[in-house]
Amino acid sequence: MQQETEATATIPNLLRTGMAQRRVAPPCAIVIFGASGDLTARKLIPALYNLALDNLLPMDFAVVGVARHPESTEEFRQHLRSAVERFSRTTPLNAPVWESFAESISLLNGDPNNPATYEMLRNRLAEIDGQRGTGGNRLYYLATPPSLFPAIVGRLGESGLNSGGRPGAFARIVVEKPFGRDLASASDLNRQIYESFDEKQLFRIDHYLGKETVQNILAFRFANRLWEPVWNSQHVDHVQITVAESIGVEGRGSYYEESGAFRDVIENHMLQLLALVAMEPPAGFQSEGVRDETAKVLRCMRPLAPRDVAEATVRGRYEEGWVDGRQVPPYRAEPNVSPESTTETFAALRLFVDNWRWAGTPFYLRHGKRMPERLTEIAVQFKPAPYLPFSADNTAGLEPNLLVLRIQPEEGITLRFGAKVPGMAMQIRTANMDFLYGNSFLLPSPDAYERLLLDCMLGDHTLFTRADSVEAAWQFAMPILEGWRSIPVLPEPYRAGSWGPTAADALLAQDGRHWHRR
Amino acid sequence: MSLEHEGKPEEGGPVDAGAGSAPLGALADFSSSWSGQGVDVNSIKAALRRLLQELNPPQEGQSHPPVKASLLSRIVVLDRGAENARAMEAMGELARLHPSRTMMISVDRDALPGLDADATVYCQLQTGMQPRVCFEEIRLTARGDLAGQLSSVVVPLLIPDMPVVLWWIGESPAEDDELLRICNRLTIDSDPLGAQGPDRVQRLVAAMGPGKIVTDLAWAELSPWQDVLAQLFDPLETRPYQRTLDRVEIQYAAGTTSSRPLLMAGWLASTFGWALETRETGEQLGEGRHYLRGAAGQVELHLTPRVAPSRSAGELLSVSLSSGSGEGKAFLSVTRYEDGVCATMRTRLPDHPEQSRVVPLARPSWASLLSGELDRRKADPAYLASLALASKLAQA
Repeated sequence: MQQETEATATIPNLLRTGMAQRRVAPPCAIVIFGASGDLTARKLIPALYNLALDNLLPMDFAVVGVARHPESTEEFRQHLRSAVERFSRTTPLNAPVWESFAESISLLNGDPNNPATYEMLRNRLAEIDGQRGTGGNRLYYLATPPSLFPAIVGRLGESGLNSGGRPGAFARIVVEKPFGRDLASASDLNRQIYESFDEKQLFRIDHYLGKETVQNILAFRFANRLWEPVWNSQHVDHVQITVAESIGVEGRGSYYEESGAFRDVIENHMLQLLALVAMEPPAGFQSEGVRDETAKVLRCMRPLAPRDVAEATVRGRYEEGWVDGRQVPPYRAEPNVSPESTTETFAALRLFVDNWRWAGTPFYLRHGKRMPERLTEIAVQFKPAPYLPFSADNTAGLEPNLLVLRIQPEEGITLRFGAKVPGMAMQIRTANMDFLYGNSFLLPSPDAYERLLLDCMLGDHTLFTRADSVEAAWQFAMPILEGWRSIPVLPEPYRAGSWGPTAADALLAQDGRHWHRR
Repeated sequence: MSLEHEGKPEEGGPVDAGAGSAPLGALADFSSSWSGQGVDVNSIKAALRRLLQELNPPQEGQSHPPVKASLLSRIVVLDRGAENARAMEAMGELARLHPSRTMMISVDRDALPGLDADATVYCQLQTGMQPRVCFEEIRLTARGDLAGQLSSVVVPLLIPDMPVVLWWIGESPAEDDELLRICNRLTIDSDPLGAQGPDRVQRLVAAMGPGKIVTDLAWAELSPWQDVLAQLFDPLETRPYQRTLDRVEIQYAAGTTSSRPLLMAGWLASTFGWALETRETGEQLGEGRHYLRGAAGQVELHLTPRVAPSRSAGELLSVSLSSGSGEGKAFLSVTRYEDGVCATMRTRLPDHPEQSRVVPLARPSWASLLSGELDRRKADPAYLASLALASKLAQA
């Protein structure tokens, strides 16, 4: 295993003194395996192009695509140009900037299983270091199906490409989720990667968790004094986290059949969101500060016993219905989905975080496809006031305080509190205040991949999942997946365009609660 | 819920509800206006409250107080010039990004004393017909003697506990202007002040004192250039040449003298630690060659006007820096395209292949400059240093 070190600048760039802090990525060559695939065309290259448009790419930069398809570099650039014209969040295409950026892109035809490909890659990278000054820094992006990861990682190790091209340069590797489909496969994958790379070189991308989300939750909790004193089980009755999608499986049927709603979103993204909501204040925002605290939360989640699985989890599957003014087919009729499928498109669960801060406070998580609208929010329901010194008539219908952190589609918070109704009597009623905050009222925000790629180049791990978190999340998930398989717990149908099966409502009703509705 | 009326009954009355004809209105979903002549501050405030409630009627069974978001109070002092239109456009965009209470003040010293006001509340609906973000605009005409006592009407209209930004359009304010005392940040444009700009602004900064920030739009416009020039020196192999630079040329569009090339020269010189020695004037207006002294020796600084019909006078066209000559020469430059949208960065170092890259380098709009500047919490030391040197370069 190679130790990774950062290239340090001994002579400072005088022109940057006094400039507003801007994170400048070091020179870098990005190698994309699976370059002829969808991800490269739809996400990676448009993201890099937009970084170029915002002047965030380093001057010394290159992209090498590795693909089995025999194609010339020129053809590759052409096809990427059309892709960017279609998928870039900024239009129209800025031709001079594109041309200049495209010059840094080349294609290497090769089979990722073949050692000879890596020899060619090594030579190409050495050439690029010479011509484009990329300084030996390498970022390998595995945009291939996960089945190819072990082979690619192994070959990179064998050919010595798992360390930077010169002393002090870095070599990093980026993998997309899913990180395995259960604890065993996730551990296997980690083990295989560790044969050639160490954890510091590894970036596990979870693009759903954009930086805005993470930063907003952290800013809200820790830049304000108001919330921390009540952010615990003494004052909080329960927390609900909802990630709702209005779309269906959208042609990814064969992948989804193997995965299901729980593995797709809950086991990774939502547990991360939960960790951000439940964590202790970090000592600092350097990458490990936050990741240390989120890992602690994940380890404190109370594992579900087999009998709990039936009582505390819900599975659902969408039937036909109307979403957003359009009629949509049932899950089982989607392409590449078996008509007898028992995969869930909706899942909900109740869990407890066993630590001083949260003992006894349930967390309810739900996620599903074909919900009435797309939204991600975290609702913190507080306990009612300990004593209401008003007459019962005057407070009929008064609801306890509710704080909702809205993550998507718009960032904002909603605060519900009791206020006096103007008039002669002391009548209290519930008022809602909605705040949509930040400069991004109506600004398009950068695509998550832009931030993530920049963070990879900068070596900032904050947004990437760490090995111990991956493991803790799977530890928690396994009894649920096991229970569903063995009991078995089958998905209950729900109409597309509704908030899920009735069992989801029962999950909270049995505790005397209800889902927060917008 | 009953609407409350406070203070004197207003003269004049509600103008109309619906898309306002004022510039900020173009981007809001609802607005409502009120107009009055010979009014006082209380009636303006009462009108604003009423307009806010008009646009946010209480709903049956649900309490949903209108949300008025404000990040700051903005005072804009208008003059009669053409820059007003450009400023209005900028404010229209800014209103959505930085909701505020904005006061636009015109002055009419020859008229009978009094205050006229137009107040408008705009509400921007968010998606899903849910919350409205409301912001306010007040246009004031200060007549007669009142023109010299603006703070007496402005101060009560400020939003308490929020920053006050003063934007002076046209000629710069007098150093003892009372509005300078009440603002936290002054925005001006040193460009129309030409070669005298840097010196003028320096004196304003001194008069305002510490703790107040001066934003110069001419300087803010340079920041994309500064960013790109800094990027030229990001690759490690270029760094040693920063110390040995001996020639700098700044080309700009010919026409009037502008503060921009001077500020750019001031920035480069102050950042690299060069001191001014002597100066030669060229034949063309604004052309100059300065000799400065750096740690490694003499540096020639050329300010060269060039005819560029498609660009506005004073706009930067290219900045090039070089060190040495012959085989050992290092040359780095940023040259803007004729269309003003992109620029080419070029680096030629001894023993290295030439690198070039095209980057976007369009002239930023005032709205984006102002919006960016609002995030700066402290005075910019680079600006002050560059101002000092630019001032010397202009006078030498």
